Amino acid sequence: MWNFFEPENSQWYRWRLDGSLVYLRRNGEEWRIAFVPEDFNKLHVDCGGPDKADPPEGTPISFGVSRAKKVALKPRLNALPYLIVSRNVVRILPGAEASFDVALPPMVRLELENGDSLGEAMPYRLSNTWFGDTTAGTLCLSLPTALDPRCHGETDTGICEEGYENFNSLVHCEIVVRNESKVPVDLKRLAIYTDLLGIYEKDGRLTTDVVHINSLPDGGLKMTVQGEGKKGWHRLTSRSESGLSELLVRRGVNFLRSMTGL
Amino acid sequence: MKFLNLFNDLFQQFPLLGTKDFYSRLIEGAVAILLILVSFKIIQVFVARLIKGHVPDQRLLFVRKLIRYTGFVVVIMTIFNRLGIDLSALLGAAGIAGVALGFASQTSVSNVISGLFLVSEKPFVLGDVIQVADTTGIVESIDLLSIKLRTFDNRFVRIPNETLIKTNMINVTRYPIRRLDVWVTVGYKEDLERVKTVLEDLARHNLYALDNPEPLIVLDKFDASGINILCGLWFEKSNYLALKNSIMLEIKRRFEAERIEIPYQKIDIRLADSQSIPLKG
Repeated sequence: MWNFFEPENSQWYRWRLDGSLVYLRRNGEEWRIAFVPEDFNKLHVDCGGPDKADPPEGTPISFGVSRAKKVALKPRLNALPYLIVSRNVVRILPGAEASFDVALPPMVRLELENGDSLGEAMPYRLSNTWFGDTTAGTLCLSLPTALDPRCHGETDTGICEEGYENFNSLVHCEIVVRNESKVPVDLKRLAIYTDLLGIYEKDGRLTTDVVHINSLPDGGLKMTVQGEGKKGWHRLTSRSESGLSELLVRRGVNFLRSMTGL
Repeated sequence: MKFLNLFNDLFQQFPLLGTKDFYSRLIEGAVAILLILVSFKIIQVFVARLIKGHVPDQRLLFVRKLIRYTGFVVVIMTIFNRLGIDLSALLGAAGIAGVALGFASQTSVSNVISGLFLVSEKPFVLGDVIQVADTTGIVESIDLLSIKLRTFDNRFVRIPNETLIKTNMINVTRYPIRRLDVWVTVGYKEDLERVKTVLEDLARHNLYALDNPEPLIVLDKFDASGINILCGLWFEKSNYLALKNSIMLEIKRRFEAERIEIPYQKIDIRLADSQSIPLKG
């Protein structure tokens, strides 16, 4: 689904992204593309493509011109942080660790072999949210899903009802929060900064690097990304390299310190 | 007396017209002026590059203009010098003229001083949307005497700096997010809890309304024709029109679907010899 392929001339192709659609047609050097977004709340399990399809109806079509022969649909994480709210207040006691599985809606782009982009769009309709003071803060994408903790050995939280784990068009991200401080940490909201996250694919399923958040004894928070890659998974996008790591840690610290009240 | 000497100096140059010395002085003067202009241009570019990124755009603009006008003053003084005009006479005359000009240009001086205050106070920057009295527009330039706005219907508005110092000015885009207040009136027979729930639901599902800060819904007052409700929605400042258009449409549609009455004024006209005819409007 995410691999390069050579489309036939004058034939429309379609990708199904659990409710939203992406269309493509090539005729020599002319490329036509169309995105049909869907509300995030209305997604249903249906992921696949590219399949031969009829032309899209009632959708604006964009044009591109390139001599390239092959094209692929590639997922990318949004530049805005994703903000997710916990279903209930999650209290992590000193020395304890909790994991969270989050499904992130990616941007998708039609990428040519040389890395150029024919077009890019967010195929899911999401509202924005604001983190921080009203005079300064960060605009985030608001995920209408809830954060449920999963502890060691637990496979079913018994709470999650949405079934987002079944959507293969979404990027699944594992976040591990460990409390190394001497005071409990209440987790109400979690912002996921995507600068350092790479995307991996296996059997059509997308995942990211694992994010580790440690609450330190000095009251600070440290956010790191497991960057060795994932065994047996095919890397689709690379994470940003040096320089941004510090930024992520700093932003993550400020953000988490505010939201956990540390 | 000195002022008269100034003209004498000037008239003394006329006999030199067409002579070799005249052309020599003319070329020297032209080269000097060119060098001065180029030098000041280089200084302007160099200083602009040096301070760019460290100071706001309008202050950068101000510094560039200051250097440019200083260059012009030096050019004018050089021209006088090349013409053999004694500048002390000019400065003496300028002193007298200055007093006269001072009275005549009170407003301009006031604007210049107000401009300096505006630059230092920074109530807005280039590109901000501000509202002064009935005028709202995007700040296009901040100059010594006035600021220039481009209104949303593409008109050019010049506002003297003095006016900005004296009157209330609203910077619409100072902060990254704003709240849109939509006032809704519902009939007395409506269930207010249900109306509140409907408005919360509309706010939650609108793409342009931010989830956080949470929408503000206030049952404001019992008015003559219905109950006034304030629905305050937070949005990212660039989405003002998109939010306003979408939420108004959604409220109207949803209220119709939920059969929630939006009361409006009705007029009954009673003819003297017939029964009343209700008119909508």
